[in-house]
Amino acid sequence: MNLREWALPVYTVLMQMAIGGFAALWILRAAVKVRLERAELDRLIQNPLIILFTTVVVAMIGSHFHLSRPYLSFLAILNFRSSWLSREIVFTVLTFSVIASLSLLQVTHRGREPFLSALGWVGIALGSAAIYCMSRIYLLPTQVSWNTPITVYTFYSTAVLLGSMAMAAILVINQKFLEIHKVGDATVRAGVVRQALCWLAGIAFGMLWVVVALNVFMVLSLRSAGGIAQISLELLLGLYQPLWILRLLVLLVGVGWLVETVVTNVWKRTTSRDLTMPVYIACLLVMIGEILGRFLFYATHVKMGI
Amino acid sequence: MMIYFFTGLCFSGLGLAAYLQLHHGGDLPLRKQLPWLAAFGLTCGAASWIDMFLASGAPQSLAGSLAILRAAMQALSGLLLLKFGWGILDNLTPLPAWTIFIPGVLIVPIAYAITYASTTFITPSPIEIPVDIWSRYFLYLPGSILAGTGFLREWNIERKKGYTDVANLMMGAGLAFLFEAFVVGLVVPAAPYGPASYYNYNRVASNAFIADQSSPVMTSMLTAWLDYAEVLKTTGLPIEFWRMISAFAVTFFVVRGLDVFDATQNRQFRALQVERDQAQEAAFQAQIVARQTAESWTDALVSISRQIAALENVDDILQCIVQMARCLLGADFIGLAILNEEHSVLEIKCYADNQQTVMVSPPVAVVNPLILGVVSSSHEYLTRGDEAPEMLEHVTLTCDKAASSMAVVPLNLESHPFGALWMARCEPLPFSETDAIWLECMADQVVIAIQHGLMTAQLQSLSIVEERGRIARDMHDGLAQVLGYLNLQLQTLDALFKQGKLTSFQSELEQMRQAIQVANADVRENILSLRTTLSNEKSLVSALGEYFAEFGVQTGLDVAFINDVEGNINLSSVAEVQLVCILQEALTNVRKHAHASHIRVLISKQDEDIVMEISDDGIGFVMHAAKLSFGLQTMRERAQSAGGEFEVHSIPDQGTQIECRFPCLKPEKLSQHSLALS
Repeated sequence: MNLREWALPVYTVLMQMAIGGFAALWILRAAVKVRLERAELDRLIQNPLIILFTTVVVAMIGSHFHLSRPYLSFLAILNFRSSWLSREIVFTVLTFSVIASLSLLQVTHRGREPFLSALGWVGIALGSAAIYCMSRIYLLPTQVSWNTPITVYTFYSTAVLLGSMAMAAILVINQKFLEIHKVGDATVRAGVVRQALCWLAGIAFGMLWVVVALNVFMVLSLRSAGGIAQISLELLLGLYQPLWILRLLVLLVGVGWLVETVVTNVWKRTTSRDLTMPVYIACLLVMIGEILGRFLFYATHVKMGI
Repeated sequence: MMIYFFTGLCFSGLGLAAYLQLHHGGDLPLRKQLPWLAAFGLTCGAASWIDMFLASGAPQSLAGSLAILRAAMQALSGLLLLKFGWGILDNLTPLPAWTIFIPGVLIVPIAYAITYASTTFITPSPIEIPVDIWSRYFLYLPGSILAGTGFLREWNIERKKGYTDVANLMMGAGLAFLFEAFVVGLVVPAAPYGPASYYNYNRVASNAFIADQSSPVMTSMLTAWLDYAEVLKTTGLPIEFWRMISAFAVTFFVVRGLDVFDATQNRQFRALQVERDQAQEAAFQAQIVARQTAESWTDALVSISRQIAALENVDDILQCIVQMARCLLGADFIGLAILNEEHSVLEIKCYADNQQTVMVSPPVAVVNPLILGVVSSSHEYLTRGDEAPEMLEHVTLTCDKAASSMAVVPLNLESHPFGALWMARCEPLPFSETDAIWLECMADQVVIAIQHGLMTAQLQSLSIVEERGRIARDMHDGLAQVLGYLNLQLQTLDALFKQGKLTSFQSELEQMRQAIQVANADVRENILSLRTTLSNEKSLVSALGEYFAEFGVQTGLDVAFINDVEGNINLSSVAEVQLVCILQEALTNVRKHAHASHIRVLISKQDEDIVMEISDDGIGFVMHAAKLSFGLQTMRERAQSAGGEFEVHSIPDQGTQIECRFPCLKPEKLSQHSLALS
């Protein structure tokens, strides 16, 4: 895979991570808004929202690098009725618009609570649609290794797993930032973050096994498909086997590290070390695993026919 | 081969020097990272020497293993360099709070870069090549940049501290690390993937952005002078040479920096020692000055107390107080003012300046608002420097200049202000809180002196009245009776003379003569009593002895005065006065009633008491009859009023013994008493 093709893993993984993280953040917001005052709630989600917005921007910019004529990319939306690519672009832009609007409203402290809440849920729905359209692009009869529902599930699993991990890291860093600035009620906020970390670690742990299961199903699917799919399978278990093992390994270590950190420091509270670095490294490992997975997704496909 | 050898030598030297410096102290941030620097230097040196063996044509059987070992050593040394660079930067000044988001931002490019690097291992080429390339990109490049940045920040810090020599070496080390970042971290072997495909020392470039095709044609977009091929063409020196230069530069500047820092620190340590010695000397001198000041103040206060106790003239005492206060406080002017009898005007009583101490007469009214305010509020005042100029006018009576600072304290008698004591300076040197406290001490002495003067005057008035009463009583009981008797006798003599009874006339005349002798003795004794006083110049024993001897001369009795007390008699002043009075009373009684020929007075010390025994060989008296005696009762009351005891023993025809006992002063009370008296 040459450098230009790396634009696709950049776009898809970052976009899925941003949408998954946004969903996690909004669910957290909905869960704690009755417990926190509006100002505290804003402090909890403002920085994470800005980081997610930046991630979406980077993803959208990155997507243009695999185009031969990036300046004409907007023309792709003209085929909305017939093209999943057009739909992906439209929903991506809409998701971006929602996250950008929410970030702006959050920074300027404007917007009523019901409106903000509804807008966030709309953003999640648009993001989910964008991921679905993103995955549907690859369901092509000529691409045997891609043309399976596992592709859709894989994209969603990436969104949930990476979104959970990213949000855990962002919440910990944001908490530390607010502690340094001594802003608001740190005790209440720390309680919310601890609870959120427990939930996020649990979700990541569950999704880890979903990802492992999807990989197993992928191998079984390729093996049963025969023909061109067999070549993809040989690539996966042959040339790219070290990377495939490495992917699963870093996912396991990354999620395991987060779970261990949360269990010992948050749940049981047997130690009180700084959570920033372990959560950060765990997130980095999972991200490497997911990008490797996306690389293998693109690298092992074999086109059928001319 | 020589280049590899010297490169290894430089790095090994760096590692060894860093290791040897491990046990030295110091606050250079580099110190804490020395273990990592030492490990980096040694591993990097080992990698270079492995290169040397490989370049010298190592046996084929060893070449493969050596190549893998070299790749491992290079990756390890890169990791150690990264740790060292991160550590040296992290130990410097804390970064702004927002920088904690940097790892969160970098996580995405780092994840992609690592993933991208991991995919490049899936190539037919030997694994050492991607290890070499990515260890340089991921470890050497950021490690060198971090270390270089850390040293440059250290340069800035040391430069601000004024350690120019250390700062210059830190800057050199920073630049050397940045140079190493370029030649070691950025110039890598050629590979069919970016960025190694664009910039490498194999002078091969391929466009990895569009395909994995290698091309011998240079298509680099970098500036020509930075291009490795251009550098090689111009200088003729391979990349290994530049790496050796960078290794030498890093080793030189870091090792020299450590040495110079040691020297600077030793210099600083010596300077601190000198400063400490100077501070100790200054503290010692300050202690001496403080002690001398305290002694001066103690001497002054003792002197004033002595004057007060000696019942010196109050005006003299006040002059002495203001004079001493001015000298001790270093003031240009000190004034003492007291409210007049109507409490309507505050009048200056006396003042002292640099030339004289003067009692002010006629009185001058004080008009300064600050002084008047202190008297009305009864609170001291210390100028802060922000007072209006008119507030400091009329403070000094004699100085030409206006006062620039002053302190005023009230004179309080039973919580009521009746005057003020103030000091002023014309030079711009403000008074301290301590100065104000000392001035308050002097104000207390002023109040004590005035109070003592008033009490002395009152006591003198009372004593005069009492003495007049006693003299009147004695004259009434003695001289007046005698004169009345003589008047009657004269009438009798006149009748006897007219009747011609010369024998009776002669007898009556004899009686008159005796009566006149008795009156004469009384008068003389009264005169003696009036003359006998206690004073500082004469001790109690000598006063008693002189009085007793004079009494013997006047009465013609045989007197004996015995003092068995060694040293001074430690009695309170009240007891001393009562002792003298009791002796006078007792001797009067002996003269009048005892018909004694010998009198003995013995002063002795029994236990903690001073005992005075007066015994005579007179006619004595019956004890129960004497209980109603007014004289004995008075003597007993005098003894008891001073905490003493009084006993009388008498048997008819066997004389009388009087014992009077007063407790001595305890040592601590004695010192206070002496101080008060002195």
